[in-house]
Amino acid sequence: MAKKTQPTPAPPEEAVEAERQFVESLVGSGQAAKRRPDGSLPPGATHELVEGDDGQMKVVRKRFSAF
Amino acid sequence: MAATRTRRRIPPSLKPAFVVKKNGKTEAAKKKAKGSKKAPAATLIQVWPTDPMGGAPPLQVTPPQLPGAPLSTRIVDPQQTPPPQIYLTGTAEFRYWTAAEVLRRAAQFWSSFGITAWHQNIPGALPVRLDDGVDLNAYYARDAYPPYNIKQGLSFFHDTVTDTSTGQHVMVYSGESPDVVSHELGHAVLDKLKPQLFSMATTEAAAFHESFGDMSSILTALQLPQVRLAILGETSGHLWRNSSVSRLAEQLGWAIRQRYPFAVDADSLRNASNSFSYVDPASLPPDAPATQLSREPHNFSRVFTGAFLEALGGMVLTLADPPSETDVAQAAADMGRLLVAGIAAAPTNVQFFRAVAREMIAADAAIFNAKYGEALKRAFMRRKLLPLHAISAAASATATAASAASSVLTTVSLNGASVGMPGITIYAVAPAAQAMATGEAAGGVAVAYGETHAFIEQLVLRGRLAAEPQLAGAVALPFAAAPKRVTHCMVRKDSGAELHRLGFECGCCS
Repeated sequence: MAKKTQPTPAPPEEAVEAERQFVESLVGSGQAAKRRPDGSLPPGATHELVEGDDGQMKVVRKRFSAF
Repeated sequence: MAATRTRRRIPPSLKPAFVVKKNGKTEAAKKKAKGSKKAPAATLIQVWPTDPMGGAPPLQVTPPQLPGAPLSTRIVDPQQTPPPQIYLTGTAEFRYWTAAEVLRRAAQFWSSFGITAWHQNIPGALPVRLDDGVDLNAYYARDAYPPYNIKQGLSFFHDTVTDTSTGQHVMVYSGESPDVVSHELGHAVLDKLKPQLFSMATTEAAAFHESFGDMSSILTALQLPQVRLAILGETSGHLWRNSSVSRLAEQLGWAIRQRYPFAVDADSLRNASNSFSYVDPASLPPDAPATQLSREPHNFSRVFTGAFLEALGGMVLTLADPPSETDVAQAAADMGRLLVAGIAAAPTNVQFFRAVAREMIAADAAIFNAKYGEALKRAFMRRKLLPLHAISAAASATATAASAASSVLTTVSLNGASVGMPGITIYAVAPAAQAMATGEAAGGVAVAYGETHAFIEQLVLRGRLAAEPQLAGAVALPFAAAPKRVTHCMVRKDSGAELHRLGFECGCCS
Protein backbone atom coordinates (compact mmCIF):
# COMPACT_ATOMS: atom_id res chain seq x y z
CA MET A 1 0.00 0.00 0.00
CA ALA A 2 1.34 3.37 -0.89
CA LYS A 3 2.48 5.37 2.07
CA LYS A 4 0.47 8.51 2.67
CA THR A 5 2.54 11.62 2.63
CA GLN A 6 1.72 14.34 5.06
CA PRO A 7 1.39 17.81 3.56
CA THR A 8 4.31 20.00 4.55
CA PRO A 9 3.16 22.51 7.14
CA ALA A 10 3.53 26.13 6.16
CA PRO A 11 6.56 27.74 7.81
CA PRO A 12 5.78 30.25 10.55
CA GLU A 13 5.45 33.86 9.44
CA GLU A 14 8.63 34.94 11.21
CA ALA A 15 10.65 32.28 9.39
CA VAL A 16 9.29 33.41 6.02
CA GLU A 17 10.18 36.99 6.81
CA ALA A 18 13.64 35.97 8.05
CA GLU A 19 14.25 34.12 4.80
CA ARG A 20 13.10 37.08 2.74
CA GLN A 21 15.46 39.37 4.62
CA PHE A 22 18.30 36.90 4.24
CA VAL A 23 17.86 36.59 0.48
CA GLU A 24 17.68 40.35 0.13
CA SER A 25 20.91 40.66 2.08
CA LEU A 26 22.66 38.03 -0.04
CA VAL A 27 21.62 39.65 -3.29
CA GLY A 28 22.57 43.08 -1.97
CA SER A 29 26.08 41.98 -1.06
CA GLY A 30 26.64 39.92 -4.21
CA GLN A 31 26.77 36.64 -2.32
CA ALA A 32 23.80 35.30 -4.25
CA ALA A 33 24.15 35.39 -8.00
CA LYS A 34 23.03 33.68 -11.15
CA ARG A 35 25.41 31.41 -12.98
CA ARG A 36 27.61 33.13 -15.52
CA PRO A 37 27.46 32.12 -19.21
CA ASP A 38 30.29 29.66 -18.63
CA GLY A 39 28.26 28.07 -15.83
CA SER A 40 30.43 29.30 -12.97
CA LEU A 41 29.43 31.45 -10.03
CA PRO A 42 31.11 34.85 -9.69
CA PRO A 43 33.95 35.08 -7.14
CA GLY A 44 32.56 35.66 -3.68
CA ALA A 45 29.15 34.18 -4.44
CA THR A 46 28.11 31.54 -1.95
CA HIS A 47 24.56 31.00 -3.19
CA GLU A 48 23.04 30.44 -6.61
CA LEU A 49 19.90 32.32 -7.57
CA VAL A 50 17.49 29.89 -9.17
CA GLU A 51 13.93 30.27 -10.35
CA GLY A 52 11.49 27.98 -8.59
CA ASP A 53 8.51 26.23 -10.17
CA ASP A 54 6.33 29.03 -8.90
CA GLY A 55 8.42 31.62 -10.71
CA GLN A 56 9.90 32.95 -7.48
CA MET A 57 13.65 33.35 -7.21
CA LYS A 58 15.24 31.17 -4.54
CA VAL A 59 18.76 30.86 -3.23
CA VAL A 60 20.65 27.58 -2.97
CA ARG A 61 23.82 27.49 -0.92
CA LYS A 62 26.83 26.14 -2.74
CA ARG A 63 29.68 27.00 -0.36
CA PHE A 64 30.90 29.17 2.51
CA SER A 65 33.49 31.90 2.13
CA ALA A 66 35.94 33.65 4.44
CA PHE A 67 34.79 37.09 3.32
CA MET B 1 94.15 38.52 -8.52
CA ALA B 2 92.68 35.60 -6.69
CA ALA B 3 88.97 35.19 -7.08
CA THR B 4 87.03 35.67 -3.89
CA ARG B 5 84.35 33.20 -3.04
CA THR B 6 81.29 34.54 -1.39
CA ARG B 7 79.25 32.25 0.72
CA ARG B 8 75.71 33.03 1.77
CA ARG B 9 75.38 32.63 5.47
CA ILE B 10 72.28 30.83 6.57
CA PRO B 11 71.12 31.77 10.05
CA PRO B 12 71.34 28.76 12.37
CA SER B 13 67.61 28.93 13.01
CA LEU B 14 66.93 28.44 9.32
CA LYS B 15 69.34 25.58 8.73
CA PRO B 16 67.67 22.28 7.94
CA ALA B 17 67.97 19.74 10.72
CA PHE B 18 68.96 17.01 8.30
CA VAL B 19 71.32 17.27 5.34
CA VAL B 20 70.96 14.37 2.92
CA LYS B 21 74.33 13.20 1.57
CA LYS B 22 74.92 11.77 -1.87
CA ASN B 23 75.02 8.23 -0.55
CA GLY B 24 71.58 8.74 0.83
CA LYS B 25 72.64 8.69 4.47
CA THR B 26 71.82 11.60 6.67
CA GLU B 27 74.22 13.09 9.15
CA ALA B 28 71.99 11.72 11.84
CA ALA B 29 72.17 8.24 10.36
CA LYS B 30 75.97 8.47 10.24
CA LYS B 31 76.15 9.43 13.88
CA LYS B 32 73.89 6.52 14.78
CA ALA B 33 76.12 4.16 12.81
CA LYS B 34 79.11 5.40 14.78
CA GLY B 35 77.37 4.47 17.99
CA SER B 36 76.67 7.99 19.16
CA LYS B 37 74.34 8.02 22.14
CA LYS B 38 72.92 11.43 21.19
CA ALA B 39 69.38 11.34 19.79
CA PRO B 40 69.16 12.75 16.27
CA ALA B 41 67.84 16.27 16.00
CA ALA B 42 64.15 16.28 15.15
CA THR B 43 63.11 17.37 11.67
CA LEU B 44 61.47 20.76 11.88
CA ILE B 45 59.30 22.88 9.65
CA GLN B 46 58.65 26.58 9.83
CA VAL B 47 55.11 27.99 10.12
CA TRP B 48 53.16 31.14 10.91
CA PRO B 49 51.49 30.99 14.32
CA THR B 50 48.37 33.01 13.35
CA ASP B 51 48.83 35.04 10.18
CA PRO B 52 51.59 36.36 7.91
CA MET B 53 50.75 39.85 9.18
CA GLY B 54 50.05 38.73 12.73
CA GLY B 55 53.22 40.37 13.96
CA ALA B 56 54.93 37.24 15.30
CA PRO B 57 57.87 35.57 13.55
CA PRO B 58 57.53 32.05 12.16
CA LEU B 59 57.74 29.17 14.60
CA GLN B 60 59.76 26.02 14.15
CA VAL B 61 57.72 22.93 14.93
CA THR B 62 57.72 19.24 14.13
CA PRO B 63 55.93 18.39 10.89
CA PRO B 64 52.36 17.13 11.20
CA GLN B 65 51.21 13.63 10.35
CA LEU B 66 49.54 13.73 6.93
CA PRO B 67 46.75 13.12 6.20
CA GLY B 68 46.29 12.54 9.92
CA ALA B 69 43.32 11.06 11.74
CA PRO B 70 40.65 11.54 12.81
CA LEU B 71 39.33 14.41 10.66
CA SER B 72 41.85 13.65 7.92
CA THR B 73 42.79 16.38 5.51
CA ARG B 74 44.44 15.81 2.15
CA ILE B 75 46.23 18.59 0.28
CA VAL B 76 45.41 17.82 -3.35
CA ASP B 77 46.90 21.01 -4.74
CA PRO B 78 49.86 20.98 -4.92
CA GLN B 79 50.02 17.24 -5.49
CA GLN B 80 53.64 16.87 -4.36
CA THR B 81 54.53 17.08 -0.68
CA PRO B 82 57.80 19.00 -0.28
CA PRO B 83 60.31 17.30 2.03
CA PRO B 84 59.72 18.50 5.58
CA GLN B 85 62.41 21.00 6.45
CA ILE B 86 62.85 24.67 7.20
CA TYR B 87 61.83 26.76 4.22
CA LEU B 88 62.10 30.49 3.88
CA THR B 89 58.91 32.51 4.09
CA GLY B 90 57.59 33.47 0.70
CA THR B 91 58.26 30.06 -0.82
CA ALA B 92 55.62 27.60 -1.97
CA GLU B 93 57.15 24.99 0.34
CA PHE B 94 56.77 27.27 3.35
CA ARG B 95 53.13 27.89 2.45
CA TYR B 96 52.56 24.16 2.09
CA TRP B 97 53.86 23.30 5.54
CA THR B 98 52.29 26.25 7.32
CA ALA B 99 48.90 25.18 5.90
CA ALA B 100 49.51 21.48 6.60
CA GLU B 101 50.45 22.21 10.20
CA VAL B 102 47.39 24.33 10.98
CA LEU B 103 45.04 21.90 9.24
CA ARG B 104 46.26 19.20 11.60
CA ARG B 105 46.26 21.49 14.64
CA ALA B 106 42.66 22.52 14.03
CA ALA B 107 41.54 18.99 13.22
CA GLN B 108 43.12 17.62 16.39
CA PHE B 109 41.46 20.30 18.48
CA TRP B 110 37.94 19.69 17.19
CA SER B 111 38.28 15.91 17.06
CA SER B 112 39.13 15.92 20.77
CA PHE B 113 35.43 16.70 21.39
CA GLY B 114 34.20 13.62 19.57
CA ILE B 115 33.86 15.02 16.05
CA THR B 116 35.73 12.35 14.18
CA ALA B 117 34.35 12.56 10.63
CA TRP B 118 33.32 15.15 8.10
CA HIS B 119 29.85 15.53 6.67
CA GLN B 120 28.61 12.28 5.16
CA ASN B 121 29.12 13.66 1.64
CA ILE B 122 32.87 13.79 2.43
CA PRO B 123 33.50 10.19 3.52
CA GLY B 124 37.31 10.26 3.51
CA ALA B 125 39.86 12.99 3.92
CA LEU B 126 38.77 16.59 3.40
CA PRO B 127 40.32 17.78 0.10
CA VAL B 128 42.34 21.00 0.35
CA ARG B 129 43.56 23.21 -2.52
CA LEU B 130 46.16 25.71 -1.41
CA ASP B 131 46.13 27.79 -4.60
CA ASP B 132 43.05 27.36 -6.75
CA GLY B 133 43.46 30.48 -8.80
CA VAL B 134 42.88 34.19 -8.44
CA ASP B 135 40.62 35.46 -5.67
CA LEU B 136 40.90 37.29 -2.36
CA ASN B 137 38.91 34.68 -0.50
CA ALA B 138 38.71 31.08 0.68
CA TYR B 139 35.84 28.61 0.55
CA TYR B 140 34.38 25.48 2.06
CA ALA B 141 32.01 23.42 -0.07
CA ARG B 142 30.25 20.24 1.01
CA ASP B 143 29.90 19.05 -2.55
CA ALA B 144 31.56 19.67 -5.87
CA TYR B 145 29.59 21.49 -8.54
CA PRO B 146 31.74 21.28 -11.67
CA PRO B 147 29.53 23.57 -13.77
CA TYR B 148 30.01 26.26 -11.14
CA ASN B 149 33.73 25.59 -10.73
CA ILE B 150 33.03 24.78 -7.09
CA LYS B 151 35.20 22.04 -5.66
CA GLN B 152 34.48 19.89 -2.63
CA GLY B 153 36.46 20.72 0.48
CA LEU B 154 38.60 23.76 1.22
CA SER B 155 39.87 26.06 -1.52
CA PHE B 156 42.35 28.87 -1.11
CA PHE B 157 43.55 31.42 -3.65
CA HIS B 158 46.05 34.13 -4.45
CA ASP B 159 45.85 37.63 -5.84
CA THR B 160 48.10 40.62 -6.42
CA VAL B 161 47.18 43.75 -4.54
CA THR B 162 48.52 47.26 -4.93
CA ASP B 163 49.62 48.66 -1.59
CA THR B 164 47.87 52.02 -1.49
CA SER B 165 50.58 53.55 0.72
CA THR B 166 53.63 52.53 -1.37
CA GLY B 167 52.23 51.65 -4.77
CA GLN B 168 53.98 48.30 -4.61
CA HIS B 169 52.35 45.12 -5.84
CA VAL B 170 51.99 42.46 -3.18
CA MET B 171 51.00 38.85 -3.77
CA VAL B 172 48.70 37.46 -1.07
CA TYR B 173 47.88 33.78 -0.61
CA SER B 174 44.82 33.12 1.55
CA GLY B 175 46.06 29.58 2.28
CA GLU B 176 49.19 30.97 3.91
CA SER B 177 47.19 32.32 6.85
CA PRO B 178 46.52 29.87 9.70
CA ASP B 179 43.59 32.12 10.67
CA VAL B 180 41.97 31.66 7.26
CA VAL B 181 42.73 27.94 7.04
CA SER B 182 41.31 27.18 10.50
CA HIS B 183 38.27 29.38 9.73
CA GLU B 184 37.46 27.31 6.65
CA LEU B 185 38.12 24.06 8.46
CA GLY B 186 35.70 25.33 11.12
CA HIS B 187 32.96 25.47 8.47
CA ALA B 188 33.60 21.81 7.72
CA VAL B 189 33.50 20.90 11.43
CA LEU B 190 30.22 22.75 11.99
CA ASP B 191 28.76 21.19 8.85
CA LYS B 192 29.22 17.81 10.54
CA LEU B 193 28.00 19.03 13.92
CA LYS B 194 24.91 20.90 12.67
CA PRO B 195 24.28 20.05 9.02
CA GLN B 196 20.88 21.77 9.07
CA LEU B 197 22.61 25.15 9.15
CA PHE B 198 24.11 24.68 5.70
CA SER B 199 20.89 25.46 3.89
CA MET B 200 19.00 27.46 6.49
CA ALA B 201 18.12 30.76 4.88
CA THR B 202 18.32 32.98 7.92
CA THR B 203 20.84 35.60 8.84
CA GLU B 204 21.67 33.97 12.16
CA ALA B 205 22.27 30.51 10.75
CA ALA B 206 24.63 31.88 8.11
CA ALA B 207 26.26 34.30 10.52
CA PHE B 208 26.78 31.59 13.12
CA HIS B 209 28.69 29.56 10.53
CA GLU B 210 31.01 32.53 10.03
CA SER B 211 31.33 33.08 13.76
CA PHE B 212 32.19 29.43 14.30
CA GLY B 213 34.90 29.76 11.66
CA ASP B 214 36.38 32.69 13.54
CA MET B 215 36.05 30.93 16.87
CA SER B 216 37.83 27.97 15.30
CA SER B 217 40.67 30.30 14.29
CA ILE B 218 41.01 31.70 17.81
CA LEU B 219 40.84 28.35 19.58
CA THR B 220 43.21 26.76 17.08
CA ALA B 221 45.72 29.58 17.58
CA LEU B 222 45.53 29.05 21.34
CA GLN B 223 46.73 25.48 20.92
CA LEU B 224 50.24 26.88 20.51
CA PRO B 225 51.99 27.69 23.81
CA GLN B 226 53.85 30.55 22.13
CA VAL B 227 50.52 32.16 21.16
CA ARG B 228 49.13 31.69 24.66
CA LEU B 229 52.14 33.44 26.15
CA ALA B 230 51.88 36.21 23.57
CA ILE B 231 48.20 36.92 24.24
CA LEU B 232 48.78 36.99 27.99
CA GLY B 233 51.49 39.57 27.45
CA GLU B 234 49.45 41.65 25.01
CA THR B 235 46.28 41.70 27.11
CA SER B 236 47.65 41.44 30.66
CA GLY B 237 45.51 38.36 31.06
CA HIS B 238 42.31 40.01 29.82
CA LEU B 239 41.76 38.03 26.66
CA TRP B 240 38.80 40.08 25.46
CA ARG B 241 41.17 42.95 24.68
CA ASN B 242 42.56 43.68 21.24
CA SER B 243 45.42 41.27 20.48
CA SER B 244 47.18 39.28 17.79
CA VAL B 245 44.64 36.53 18.52
CA SER B 246 41.51 38.70 18.44
CA ARG B 247 42.61 40.18 15.11
CA LEU B 248 41.71 37.58 12.53
CA ALA B 249 43.29 37.22 9.10
CA GLU B 250 45.23 40.45 9.15
CA GLN B 251 46.84 39.91 5.77
CA LEU B 252 43.68 39.02 3.86
CA GLY B 253 41.98 41.91 5.60
CA TRP B 254 44.79 44.23 4.58
CA ALA B 255 44.56 43.06 0.96
CA ILE B 256 40.80 43.56 0.81
CA ARG B 257 41.16 46.97 2.47
CA GLN B 258 43.47 48.16 -0.34
CA ARG B 259 40.56 47.69 -2.72
CA TYR B 260 37.55 48.22 -0.48
CA PRO B 261 38.59 50.44 2.44
CA PHE B 262 35.36 49.99 4.39
CA ALA B 263 34.63 46.34 3.67
CA VAL B 264 36.64 44.92 6.57
CA ASP B 265 37.82 45.98 10.00
CA ALA B 266 40.58 48.58 10.18
CA ASP B 267 43.23 46.18 11.50
CA SER B 268 42.20 42.76 10.25
CA LEU B 269 39.53 40.89 8.32
CA ARG B 270 37.48 40.83 11.52
CA ASN B 271 38.46 41.70 15.07
CA ALA B 272 36.78 39.59 17.75
CA SER B 273 37.53 42.32 20.29
CA ASN B 274 34.50 44.39 19.39
CA SER B 275 31.56 46.03 21.11
CA PHE B 276 28.68 44.83 18.95
CA SER B 277 25.52 43.76 20.75
CA TYR B 278 22.65 41.68 19.48
CA VAL B 279 19.79 43.37 17.72
CA ASP B 280 17.15 41.74 15.56
CA PRO B 281 18.96 41.41 12.23
CA ALA B 282 15.74 42.36 10.47
CA SER B 283 16.21 45.86 11.85
CA LEU B 284 19.67 46.18 10.25
CA PRO B 285 20.61 47.23 6.72
CA PRO B 286 21.52 44.42 4.32
CA ASP B 287 25.12 45.59 4.22
CA ALA B 288 27.14 48.37 5.81
CA PRO B 289 30.73 49.51 6.36
CA ALA B 290 32.61 47.28 8.77
CA THR B 291 32.35 49.92 11.47
CA GLN B 292 28.61 49.29 11.62
CA LEU B 293 26.51 46.22 12.21
CA SER B 294 24.57 44.88 9.24
CA ARG B 295 22.78 41.64 8.50
CA GLU B 296 25.43 40.54 6.02
CA PRO B 297 26.44 37.19 7.60
CA HIS B 298 30.17 37.90 8.03
CA ASN B 299 29.36 41.28 9.49
CA PHE B 300 26.64 40.05 11.84
CA SER B 301 28.78 37.11 12.95
CA ARG B 302 30.85 39.56 14.99
CA VAL B 303 28.12 39.78 17.62
CA PHE B 304 28.53 36.16 18.64
CA THR B 305 32.30 36.12 18.17
CA GLY B 306 32.63 39.19 20.38
CA ALA B 307 30.57 37.51 23.09
CA PHE B 308 32.63 34.35 22.69
CA LEU B 309 35.94 36.16 23.19
CA GLU B 310 34.58 37.98 26.20
CA ALA B 311 33.32 34.72 27.67
CA LEU B 312 36.63 33.02 26.99
CA GLY B 313 38.47 35.80 28.77
CA GLY B 314 36.13 35.43 31.73
CA MET B 315 36.66 31.69 31.79
CA VAL B 316 40.42 32.17 31.90
CA LEU B 317 40.08 34.50 34.90
CA THR B 318 37.74 32.02 36.55
CA LEU B 319 40.61 29.57 36.57
CA ALA B 320 43.24 31.97 37.86
CA ASP B 321 43.84 35.67 38.22
CA PRO B 322 46.45 36.41 37.03
CA PRO B 323 46.30 33.47 34.64
CA SER B 324 49.14 31.36 33.27
CA GLU B 325 49.39 29.97 29.76
CA THR B 326 48.17 26.60 31.02
CA ASP B 327 45.02 28.32 32.29
CA VAL B 328 44.49 29.72 28.80
CA ALA B 329 44.96 26.24 27.34
CA GLN B 330 42.45 24.78 29.81
CA ALA B 331 39.87 27.49 29.16
CA ALA B 332 40.25 27.10 25.40
CA ALA B 333 39.70 23.35 25.67
CA ASP B 334 36.68 23.83 27.94
CA MET B 335 35.27 26.50 25.63
CA GLY B 336 35.57 24.11 22.69
CA ARG B 337 33.67 21.49 24.65
CA LEU B 338 30.94 23.95 25.62
CA LEU B 339 30.58 25.15 22.04
CA VAL B 340 30.22 21.64 20.68
CA ALA B 341 27.70 20.67 23.37
CA GLY B 342 25.77 23.93 23.08
CA ILE B 343 25.54 23.84 19.31
CA ALA B 344 24.50 20.19 19.27
CA ALA B 345 21.67 20.90 21.72
CA ALA B 346 20.51 24.21 20.24
CA PRO B 347 17.27 24.12 18.25
CA THR B 348 17.70 25.50 14.75
CA ASN B 349 15.23 28.31 15.10
CA VAL B 350 15.37 31.84 13.76
CA GLN B 351 17.20 33.17 16.82
CA PHE B 352 20.04 30.69 16.67
CA PHE B 353 22.59 32.91 18.45
CA ARG B 354 20.43 33.01 21.55
CA ALA B 355 19.66 29.32 21.35
CA VAL B 356 23.37 28.47 21.38
CA ALA B 357 24.06 30.90 24.22
CA ARG B 358 21.36 29.31 26.38
CA GLU B 359 22.58 25.80 25.61
CA MET B 360 26.20 26.65 26.36
CA ILE B 361 25.18 27.81 29.82
CA ALA B 362 23.19 24.62 30.29
CA ALA B 363 26.17 22.58 29.10
CA ASP B 364 28.43 24.37 31.57
CA ALA B 365 26.04 23.45 34.38
CA ALA B 366 25.99 19.81 33.30
CA ILE B 367 29.68 19.36 32.47
CA PHE B 368 31.52 21.79 34.73
CA ASN B 369 29.02 22.21 37.54
CA ALA B 370 28.40 25.80 36.41
CA LYS B 371 32.04 26.72 37.01
CA TYR B 372 31.99 29.14 34.09
CA GLY B 373 28.40 30.31 34.62
CA GLU B 374 29.23 33.86 35.56
CA ALA B 375 31.73 34.30 32.74
CA LEU B 376 29.29 32.99 30.16
CA LYS B 377 26.26 34.88 31.45
CA ARG B 378 28.14 38.13 31.77
CA ALA B 379 29.35 37.95 28.18
CA PHE B 380 26.08 36.80 26.67
CA MET B 381 24.04 39.31 28.64
CA ARG B 382 26.33 42.20 27.82
CA ARG B 383 25.90 41.35 24.13
CA LYS B 384 22.12 41.06 24.55
CA LEU B 385 22.22 37.40 23.65
CA LEU B 386 20.50 36.67 26.93
CA PRO B 387 18.07 38.91 28.76
CA LEU B 388 19.14 39.82 32.27
CA HIS B 389 15.89 38.45 33.64
CA ALA B 390 16.97 35.04 32.39
CA ILE B 391 18.63 34.71 35.79
CA SER B 392 15.23 34.57 37.40
CA ALA B 393 12.47 32.41 36.04
CA ALA B 394 9.92 34.69 37.62
CA ALA B 395 11.32 37.78 36.05
CA SER B 396 8.99 40.62 35.57
CA ALA B 397 9.61 44.26 35.85
CA THR B 398 7.12 46.67 37.19
CA ALA B 399 7.59 50.22 38.10
CA THR B 400 5.51 52.22 40.47
CA ALA B 401 5.53 55.92 40.93
CA ALA B 402 6.53 56.49 44.54
CA SER B 403 5.60 60.10 44.55
CA ALA B 404 3.47 62.50 42.67
CA ALA B 405 4.59 63.47 39.23
CA SER B 406 4.50 67.08 40.16
CA SER B 407 8.08 66.99 41.45
CA VAL B 408 10.97 67.12 38.99
CA LEU B 409 12.51 63.94 40.29
CA THR B 410 10.81 60.96 41.79
CA THR B 411 11.65 57.50 42.99
CA VAL B 412 10.69 54.53 40.91
CA SER B 413 10.73 50.96 42.07
CA LEU B 414 11.73 48.04 39.94
CA ASN B 415 11.46 44.33 40.44
CA GLY B 416 15.09 43.32 40.98
CA ALA B 417 14.58 40.20 38.91
CA SER B 418 14.50 42.32 35.77
CA VAL B 419 18.16 43.22 36.32
CA GLY B 420 19.30 39.87 37.60
CA MET B 421 18.56 40.37 41.31
CA PRO B 422 15.43 38.39 42.12
CA GLY B 423 13.63 38.79 45.43
CA ILE B 424 14.28 42.45 46.07
CA THR B 425 12.74 45.77 45.13
CA ILE B 426 15.16 48.35 43.80
CA TYR B 427 14.48 52.04 44.28
CA ALA B 428 16.09 54.62 42.07
CA VAL B 429 15.68 58.28 41.40
CA ALA B 430 14.24 59.03 38.01
CA PRO B 431 12.72 61.95 36.14
CA ALA B 432 9.08 62.34 36.98
CA ALA B 433 8.12 62.21 33.34
CA GLN B 434 9.43 58.70 33.12
CA ALA B 435 7.58 57.65 36.21
CA MET B 436 4.41 59.06 34.71
CA ALA B 437 4.95 57.32 31.47
CA THR B 438 5.92 53.96 32.78
CA GLY B 439 4.62 53.71 36.30
CA GLU B 440 1.25 53.17 37.85
CA ALA B 441 0.08 56.55 36.68
CA ALA B 442 0.25 55.17 33.17
CA GLY B 443 -1.62 52.05 34.09
CA GLY B 444 1.22 50.01 35.59
CA VAL B 445 3.08 49.57 32.33
CA ALA B 446 6.20 47.47 32.76
CA VAL B 447 9.52 49.25 32.34
CA ALA B 448 11.50 46.31 31.10
CA TYR B 449 13.52 48.63 28.89
CA GLY B 450 12.68 52.00 30.36
CA GLU B 451 15.49 54.41 30.98
CA THR B 452 15.94 53.57 34.65
CA HIS B 453 15.89 49.89 33.99
CA ALA B 454 18.35 50.26 31.14
CA PHE B 455 20.65 52.37 33.29
CA ILE B 456 20.75 49.87 36.15
CA GLU B 457 21.13 47.07 33.67
CA GLN B 458 24.28 48.56 32.18
CA LEU B 459 25.70 49.15 35.66
CA VAL B 460 25.21 45.47 36.43
CA LEU B 461 26.60 44.32 33.11
CA ARG B 462 29.66 46.54 33.31
CA GLY B 463 30.47 45.54 36.87
CA ARG B 464 29.90 49.05 38.21
CA LEU B 465 27.37 48.14 40.92
CA ALA B 466 28.11 46.86 44.43
CA ALA B 467 25.95 46.18 47.50
CA GLU B 468 26.66 47.51 51.01
CA PRO B 469 27.61 44.83 53.57
CA GLN B 470 24.28 45.21 55.40
CA LEU B 471 22.55 43.89 52.30
CA ALA B 472 24.64 40.74 52.19
CA GLY B 473 22.29 37.84 51.79
CA ALA B 474 19.41 40.04 50.66
CA VAL B 475 20.91 41.14 47.35
CA ALA B 476 22.57 38.67 45.04
CA LEU B 477 24.36 40.61 42.32
CA PRO B 478 24.61 38.51 39.18
CA PHE B 479 28.27 39.47 38.78
CA ALA B 480 30.94 40.49 41.21
CA ALA B 481 31.81 44.12 40.57
CA ALA B 482 35.40 45.10 39.96
CA PRO B 483 36.35 47.14 43.08
CA LYS B 484 38.19 49.85 41.17
CA ARG B 485 35.32 50.30 38.75
CA VAL B 486 32.33 50.56 41.08
CA THR B 487 30.37 53.76 40.55
CA HIS B 488 27.12 52.83 42.33
CA CYS B 489 26.16 51.07 45.53
CA MET B 490 22.93 49.42 46.70
CA VAL B 491 21.93 50.73 50.15
CA ARG B 492 19.17 49.24 52.31
CA LYS B 493 15.85 51.10 52.13
CA ASP B 494 12.70 49.69 53.74
CA SER B 495 12.56 46.09 52.65
CA GLY B 496 14.45 46.80 49.47
CA ALA B 497 17.60 48.54 48.27
CA GLU B 498 18.20 52.00 46.91
CA LEU B 499 20.66 52.93 44.24
CA HIS B 500 23.34 55.43 45.29
CA ARG B 501 26.02 56.86 43.07
CA LEU B 502 29.54 56.67 44.49
CA GLY B 503 31.44 58.42 41.78
CA PHE B 504 32.06 58.91 38.11
CA GLU B 505 34.46 57.23 35.75
CA CYS B 506 36.02 58.15 32.46
CA GLY B 507 34.29 55.23 30.81
CA CYS B 508 37.08 54.75 28.34
CA CYS B 509 38.43 51.44 29.55
CA SER B 510 37.10 48.04 30.50
